[in-house]
Amino acid sequence: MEYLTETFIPYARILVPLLVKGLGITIYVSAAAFFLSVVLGALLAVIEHFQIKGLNQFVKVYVSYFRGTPLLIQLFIFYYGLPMVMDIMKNCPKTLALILCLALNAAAYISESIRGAIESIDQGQYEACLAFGLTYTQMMTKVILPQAAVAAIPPITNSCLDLIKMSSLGMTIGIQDIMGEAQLTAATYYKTFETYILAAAFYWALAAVLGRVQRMIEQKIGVAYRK
Amino acid sequence: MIEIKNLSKTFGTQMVLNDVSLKIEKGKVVVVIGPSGTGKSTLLRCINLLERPEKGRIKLGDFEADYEKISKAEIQVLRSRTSMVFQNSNLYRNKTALENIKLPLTAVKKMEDRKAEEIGLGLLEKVGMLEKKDAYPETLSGGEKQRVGIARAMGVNPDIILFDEPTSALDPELVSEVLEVIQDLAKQHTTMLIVTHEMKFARSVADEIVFMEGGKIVEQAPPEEFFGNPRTERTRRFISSNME
Repeated sequence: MEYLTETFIPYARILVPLLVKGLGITIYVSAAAFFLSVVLGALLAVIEHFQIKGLNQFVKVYVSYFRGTPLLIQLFIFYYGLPMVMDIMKNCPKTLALILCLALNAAAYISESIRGAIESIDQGQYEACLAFGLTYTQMMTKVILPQAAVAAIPPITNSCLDLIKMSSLGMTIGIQDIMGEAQLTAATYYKTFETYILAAAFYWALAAVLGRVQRMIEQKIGVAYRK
Repeated sequence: MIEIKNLSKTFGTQMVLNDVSLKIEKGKVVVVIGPSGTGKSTLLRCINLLERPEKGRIKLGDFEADYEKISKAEIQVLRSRTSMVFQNSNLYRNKTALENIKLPLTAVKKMEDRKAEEIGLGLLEKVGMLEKKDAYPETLSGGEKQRVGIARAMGVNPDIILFDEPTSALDPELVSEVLEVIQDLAKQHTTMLIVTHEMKFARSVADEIVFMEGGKIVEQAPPEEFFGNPRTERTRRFISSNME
């Protein structure tokens, strides 16, 4: 009890405002990366699904690379490696580098989720579109993708959750997100246990909020599929 | 009027349709019967290019196309001037009953939303589904789905409606409600090509019966003649084994 009042709470008073500041960065980086990864993932999924010539092979290699190598290495190649060989990368801000790396990585997973969801749609749905003369674009946007979206929500939420947690790797390139703030503060006050318990609580809370959002979305767009 | 000439289709090495020719006059109902796997459904699916035939020609009113070198635009014409009722209804699962009828109208026929709504409601009433206009397919029975499917097929005002075994996937007690709707359409002289296994229904609804086997038309005659006085031994056997 004394530990709580004498040590933990006073320290929390110092740390929590810093973590809140970091939380803003974490949310910003994650949201931006997530948005990009869904757009890119959908694009990759459609290319794979329709076996679009030329691009199809590229997508296969892309997915294989980003799923097969650690994100930390991808980040180091992008942020530390590329500037050594490409001048244009020298001016890349670290937040942008993190957002792009997270997006490229998550897109590989999300494209697989979306592709699986598209493939779970019954062949009859395609035929009902074609038989009535819908164009491919109309078929995808009005019938197939809306149905696939419902099937893809659980795995995509998982990817979003992974993305939020992996954004903590930004600490290694000096991003001041939840993890970055925690690491700095822990080093200053020598309070490793308290710091990371609180930092973990922040990520956990984010995950809980995300879970609620998922349920809300499922309630809303799942209405067509309930008996 | 719709006319198919010398239609041939193979799956791998198997010839599913072998030089099939068929003519359907405007306002007439042609029913295709025959044992399973004789190309009845494939015939229907070749007409709107869900299957691509290797050879043959099709005439649809003033429109004519050669299947061997059919263009995308021609396929589009064929699909927008025909419609199909599927065995498993294939209603768009993310759309309500009313939206199912409206989608081809607004997306393909470029109709105004209000006009499409009007047509949709009228047709739902016709097939006795007006009360369920906002219901999603998932909540409908098999028979109800088929009735909405028929309304969707009527909505686009096609030259011909293709029925691909519309009652084969239904529970027996739901078959009659669907057949009644098709009967009604026949009375209003809707041009229809129907593949079915319901012999009694075929006899009462058809202007012409087509008996297919092995990818060929074996016999073609008005129902009284076909059922009363079949010309080939094969037809006779098929009828007697299916009419009990």
